Amino acid sequence: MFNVSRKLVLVTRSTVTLSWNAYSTTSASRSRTLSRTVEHKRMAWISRPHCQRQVRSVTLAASQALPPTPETSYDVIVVGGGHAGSEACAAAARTGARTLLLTQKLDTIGEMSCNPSFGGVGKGVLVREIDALDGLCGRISDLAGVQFRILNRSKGPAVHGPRAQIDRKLYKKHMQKALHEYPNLTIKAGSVSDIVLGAEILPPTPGENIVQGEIKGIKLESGEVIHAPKVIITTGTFLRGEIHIGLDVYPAGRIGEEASIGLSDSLAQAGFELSRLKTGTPPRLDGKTINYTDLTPQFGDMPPSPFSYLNTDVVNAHNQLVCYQTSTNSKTHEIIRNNLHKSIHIRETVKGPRYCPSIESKIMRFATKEAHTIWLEPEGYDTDVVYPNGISMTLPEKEQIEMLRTIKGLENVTVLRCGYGVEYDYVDPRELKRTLETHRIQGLYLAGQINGTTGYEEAAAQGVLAGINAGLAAQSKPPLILTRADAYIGVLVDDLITKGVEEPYRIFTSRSEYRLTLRADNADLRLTRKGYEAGCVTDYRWRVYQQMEEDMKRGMQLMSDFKLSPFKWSEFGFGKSDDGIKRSAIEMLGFPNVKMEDFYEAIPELKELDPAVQAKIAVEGAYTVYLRRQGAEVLAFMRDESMELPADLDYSAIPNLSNENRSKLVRQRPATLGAAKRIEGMTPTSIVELLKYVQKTRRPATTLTGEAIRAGSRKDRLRQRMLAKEF
Amino acid sequence: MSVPHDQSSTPADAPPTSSAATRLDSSAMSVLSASGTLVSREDRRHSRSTLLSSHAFSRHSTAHTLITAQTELDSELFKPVFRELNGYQERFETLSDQVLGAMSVFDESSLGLNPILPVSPADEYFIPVERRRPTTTATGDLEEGRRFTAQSIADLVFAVWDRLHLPSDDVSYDAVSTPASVAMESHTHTLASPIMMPPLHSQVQWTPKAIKQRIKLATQLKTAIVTFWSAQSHFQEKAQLILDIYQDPSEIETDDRLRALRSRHLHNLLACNLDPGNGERLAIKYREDQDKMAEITEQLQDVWLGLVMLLEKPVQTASSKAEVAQLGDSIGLHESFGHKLIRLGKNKRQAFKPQGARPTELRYTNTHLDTIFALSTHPGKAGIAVIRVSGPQAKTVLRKMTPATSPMPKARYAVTRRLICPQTSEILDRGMVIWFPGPKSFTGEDSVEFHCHGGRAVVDGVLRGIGNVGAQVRLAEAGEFARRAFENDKLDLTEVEGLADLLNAETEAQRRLALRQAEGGLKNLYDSWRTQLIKSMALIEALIDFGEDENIEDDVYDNGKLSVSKHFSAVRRRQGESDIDSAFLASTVVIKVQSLHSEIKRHMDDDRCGEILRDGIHVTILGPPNAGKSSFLNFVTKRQAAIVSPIPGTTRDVVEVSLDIGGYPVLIGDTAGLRSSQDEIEMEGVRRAQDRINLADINIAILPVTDFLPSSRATTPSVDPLVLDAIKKNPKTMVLINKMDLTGPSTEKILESIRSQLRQESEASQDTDRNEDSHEHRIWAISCQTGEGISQFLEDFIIILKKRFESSLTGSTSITQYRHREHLENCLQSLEAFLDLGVDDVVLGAEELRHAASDLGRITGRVDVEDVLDVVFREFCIGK
Repeated sequence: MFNVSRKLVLVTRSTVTLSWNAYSTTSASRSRTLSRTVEHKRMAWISRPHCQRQVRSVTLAASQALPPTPETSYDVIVVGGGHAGSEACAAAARTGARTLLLTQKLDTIGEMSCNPSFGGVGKGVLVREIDALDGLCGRISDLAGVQFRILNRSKGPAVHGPRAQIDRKLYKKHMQKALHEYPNLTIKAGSVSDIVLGAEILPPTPGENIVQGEIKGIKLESGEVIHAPKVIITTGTFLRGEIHIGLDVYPAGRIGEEASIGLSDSLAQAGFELSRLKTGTPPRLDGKTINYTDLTPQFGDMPPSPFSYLNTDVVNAHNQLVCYQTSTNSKTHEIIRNNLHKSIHIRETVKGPRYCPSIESKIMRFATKEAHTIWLEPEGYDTDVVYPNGISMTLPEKEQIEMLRTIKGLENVTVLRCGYGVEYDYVDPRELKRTLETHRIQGLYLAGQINGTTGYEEAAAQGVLAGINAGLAAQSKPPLILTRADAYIGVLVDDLITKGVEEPYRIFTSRSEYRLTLRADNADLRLTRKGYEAGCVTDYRWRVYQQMEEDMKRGMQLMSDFKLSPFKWSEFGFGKSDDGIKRSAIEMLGFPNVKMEDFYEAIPELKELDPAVQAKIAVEGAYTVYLRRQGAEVLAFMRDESMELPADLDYSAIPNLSNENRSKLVRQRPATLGAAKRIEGMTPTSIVELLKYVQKTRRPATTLTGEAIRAGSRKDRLRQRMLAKEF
Repeated sequence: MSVPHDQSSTPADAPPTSSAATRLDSSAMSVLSASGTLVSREDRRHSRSTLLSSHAFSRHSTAHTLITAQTELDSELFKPVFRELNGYQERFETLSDQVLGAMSVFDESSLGLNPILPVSPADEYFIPVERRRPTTTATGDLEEGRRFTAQSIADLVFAVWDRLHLPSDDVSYDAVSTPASVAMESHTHTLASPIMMPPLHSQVQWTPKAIKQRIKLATQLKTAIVTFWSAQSHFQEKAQLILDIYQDPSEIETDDRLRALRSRHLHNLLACNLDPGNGERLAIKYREDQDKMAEITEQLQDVWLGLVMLLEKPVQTASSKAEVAQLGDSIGLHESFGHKLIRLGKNKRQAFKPQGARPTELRYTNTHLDTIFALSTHPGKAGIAVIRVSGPQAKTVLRKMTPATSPMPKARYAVTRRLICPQTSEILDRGMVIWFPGPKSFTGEDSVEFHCHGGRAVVDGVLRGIGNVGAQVRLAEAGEFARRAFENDKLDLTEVEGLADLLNAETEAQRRLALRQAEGGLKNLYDSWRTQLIKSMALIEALIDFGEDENIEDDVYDNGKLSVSKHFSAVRRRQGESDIDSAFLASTVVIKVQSLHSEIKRHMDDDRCGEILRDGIHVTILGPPNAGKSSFLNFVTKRQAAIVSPIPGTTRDVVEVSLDIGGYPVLIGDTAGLRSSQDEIEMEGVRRAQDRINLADINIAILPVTDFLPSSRATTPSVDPLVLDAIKKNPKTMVLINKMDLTGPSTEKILESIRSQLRQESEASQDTDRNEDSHEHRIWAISCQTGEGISQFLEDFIIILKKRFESSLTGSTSITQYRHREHLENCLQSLEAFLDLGVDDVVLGAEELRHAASDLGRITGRVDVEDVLDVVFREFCIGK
């Protein structure tokens, strides 16, 4: 039965399975196979002595751990206190789950390890979406921001990107304060060495030798075991992290912080596919030694737009800091070119982000360019540290200083900490479900950079989704699923789990098919109700939201009920169109240069609406026609999404699938027909086969609104059309 | 009317007269306004009667106007009049609503689109309603009441108008200046008397001629007002409603105004086929009716002007010069008001003139609400081909694809029908049609199957025809029929099992076929377009995602600077200095897209060479009977393909032979001679010949030289008009003069005369584009008897074929499939939409580009987001 000639991985996997079985005590189904497995276990131990080390990583609930007590048992454990971790623990706690946040150092909770800013194009929408789900980072950024800007103002509201420069210390302070005061949340310092799996072994997928287990908790370096049915791992770059400076390489998560090696082993042990990614960070400069006189300043917006829907203003509105722009020159480039051999980081084959390249790779790839822009960003009010955005590098310290001093304004600069590169493990995100739970181990969630993403916002977005779902699952409530049509969070997760990553993944507005629908201004309208219904939105926000929603409804109603012929509109001073078609006020907004104020004469009630609501209506109106078309596309998309494929679908039993397609399906286990379609290389035939299977097993009983599908009836068609309109 | 009162009144001075005229103006106008929102706000403002406050909504304008007029007119004089008017108005409103209700019932029973507004007067107008519902007495009563009320109102107008004229009467001139109390008393008294009272009692002072004129005018006014009001109210309700619903059926739910009425309408609208064609007709109807209304408005204005002129009359007789001057002012006012009315009428008409389609109109794609169609049998030459249509508009497709006269086939019974092109009504094929009303169809939706002949030309023609039926009819995606069947619960398990194999073949075959077709030049071409498009998209996307703050660092600006200088200056003006870099980028894309657009357009304007070549080039031989067409065919094919005899009209049916001429696949068809004849069989042959001529890619006309010889006929030698028509129809028709062996030596001379004659004929045929040299038909002289000239002709023929089709062979850049063409057309549309948007809104522009790329991608493969991002990262150095 046990084949010694199998590959190493398979052997170890089998071993793991066997050892779990061997230790099992209670289950009747397992006692059946006990004697057999014990025998195999012995064989395995004999043939592969090194298995000893690997078994280490799958601690067993029943063996070494003390029995769970209220102090050592929670509903959800979140490992890591970065952006993903903070959001995850808060979200889980919000859903009502008893949550524990485990972090190496209490002091680094909410640390911004790279650039001192939040938001941007696309990213800003993520922050708003997190806020709409009652997450923290938007509110904290409003407290800690030192400069606020809306990017892409000239390009239309669909791609507005709110962004803020952040005071690092303030952010950390406010985040820690918020978490310490959070109900249902306990925070504990500790380094996790291992995950604890339940003794119960789930039946393996037919035809696949994949270890499947159920998480029971985690084990600390100290040996202490903490129990929880749901664990979220958000270890960022710490998973077997390595820091590169010049030719030096040493393990660390951030400068001065230990990498997490044991956990990486545990995950590999459980069968997860781990690969390496890298990223980098620029040196930090002493602001006192920078000569700003000839540099281009960049000021914040006045008045600033807050991230959070709960805020109408930000704390530091009248006290905003200034960024400065400078650039590299040919002299800088020459120094870099001459010293390329002194950096190990850029020579490696590991992939880094293409949109955030180190200055070395910029110079190598775009050799003809004579200058690259650098933004000098202040790191806060009570510090002189300046973050030179655009020149992350891994040259040795001496060369970094030499190079920096060729740059305009930095002639006499002092470097406080030199730039470095980080290389780290990430788990192939195709192992994940839409809730960010792993297929492989029930109850284990992964969020943040561990899934191959980059950026605070992406991490926080995954954190909030994983946190909510872990919390809900711990209380046996239905999950919160966000699709591509709901939110950028949905796009992010869907891209990760269907396409995987080859380079650090960052959100762009161009990643979304429904860019006009998914906007920064309507994230609350898209998500807050969903979140409240799922149970992750607190009452205060819900009340604020309801007020806004009511206003919005009233405003939209007013605007769409008010219909006039072009002639009549021209009487109100609107440009005349000659087609004789009656238009509602909302449709009039679609014409260029029409503003809400223009309707005050015709619809005086509008004046009473909150300006924020008016702004939302204006955007909605400007895109009416396009939103209707997009609505139709969303509908088509949602039809595919509504056809769910069971997670335990036996793909080997489906005929006429090509082997290539079958292996892809087995690996990614798409949750819906739509997701299956998006897998690269899927052929129409395979999709038809899947469709057939769904037909055979589970009929899609309901539409997206939960109504039964009565195909073909006119009423249904009408309803669908209205639905499409609403999106 | 009580004359004594008037007579007893004291003499007056000028101002009251003037004010009376003004009041007259106001009150009459309020009545006019009440009868429809005739007067625009602007006009109200500029006329002296600004007393009528502005209001934009017409529904309750009547009452509103009256009330306003009542409150604003301070004179006590008019109070009783208005009170009375109000009473009638109320009554009229309620009745009118009831009538509308009844009409909507009528509408529901037959959503007749028959002329909403008859040109005839009001009486006739109501007849259809009554005729349709003879049993419902209530409706009749309502109508009666309505008419009565209208009459009453008109009479009231009449009466008021009459009364107001009293001051202008020579004798009772002084009555105007009576103290208000007296006047009021008198009016009250008058109005208390029955309204139907003949209003002429008081007209003792008028000359019979003036009275006649007044009666005439009053009647005109009455009719006009009644017609106008009823037409407008009815029309506005109905037409706007239908149009609204057509534009967006779901709006019904959000519209409070007439929810109940409308939902009933909606129900009916959904019951009938709400296809774009219908909507188009409605829109046209709407505009027509608006025109009519504008006309009526103008009529009304004429009446109004007449009234004004009439009012002038007493003024002219006024004794005091000062009064004349003052009254002159008010006349001027009336005139300008009249002019304004006329202007307004014109504007209104202009506003409702049909405009060209809005260029930025959006396409809705990929919804399951679309009607889909596809060739269900194997593509390629086959005996028969089955084309399946499924979706809500299947019925419309069936209706449009078959002659309008043929009845709707019985459900699920096969019937033979001629298939016609919905646009040109040209006959495509004669085939079998089966109508499957849903849900008893394969897909569960309404479905139609067309069984036509399997030739490529026929199949493509039918597909193209179906595609042209409407915007919501599109080609099906692979497996979409099955998908729909599945979604509509129509497939049970065994059927699915069976279908899987079928689909397997279908989709794989389609894919392979597409690939095979796309191989070579075509694939490279489409790919290169896609690459270009993705580059453009990448530029735009880069601009959106990184344009601000991350400083796209690239040479694009430098390259683009010169070429975009024109756009640039415009953009700079618009956006200011700060955003110039983005503007450069966007302008670059605009230029790129423009060139791509024109390239695709050029590609599509290839006269379908590729498709023709795939099917074989259809050549038809035409000519008068006994011209030697069959002999020519036999000569060319080198066998006795067609029966030849000296009897005119030997060939009855089309004889088709496929040939290889100079390497080109040619399908030559010999047809019956074109002439008018009593013989039914022969006429059928002629009809077939004409069909065939219309379908052909190239026509060869054969004329016997004997027709042109002076000796042959007594009359002037000329070509049969049928033949001449056929020749003229296609400018590329080649003309062969046969039987040259009979002419003797004067060949050249005869040819010259024929040439000039043909030229004359074509010039005489009032062709607009006469300049085109293509009208110069090429002429060859041949003899089928001796074979003389034929080889020369064939050589020339090959050269002509080469000229026309060579590019599509060597360049291999022609469209071989209808599917490609449709996607390309969609792509073009999106590109046009993008160009319309220009650089103003890059986000919407990107949206259009995405659509364009996805359409292009569907021909060869798919466009992924990653493709775009790859280009972005390759081309730009991005990142702070």
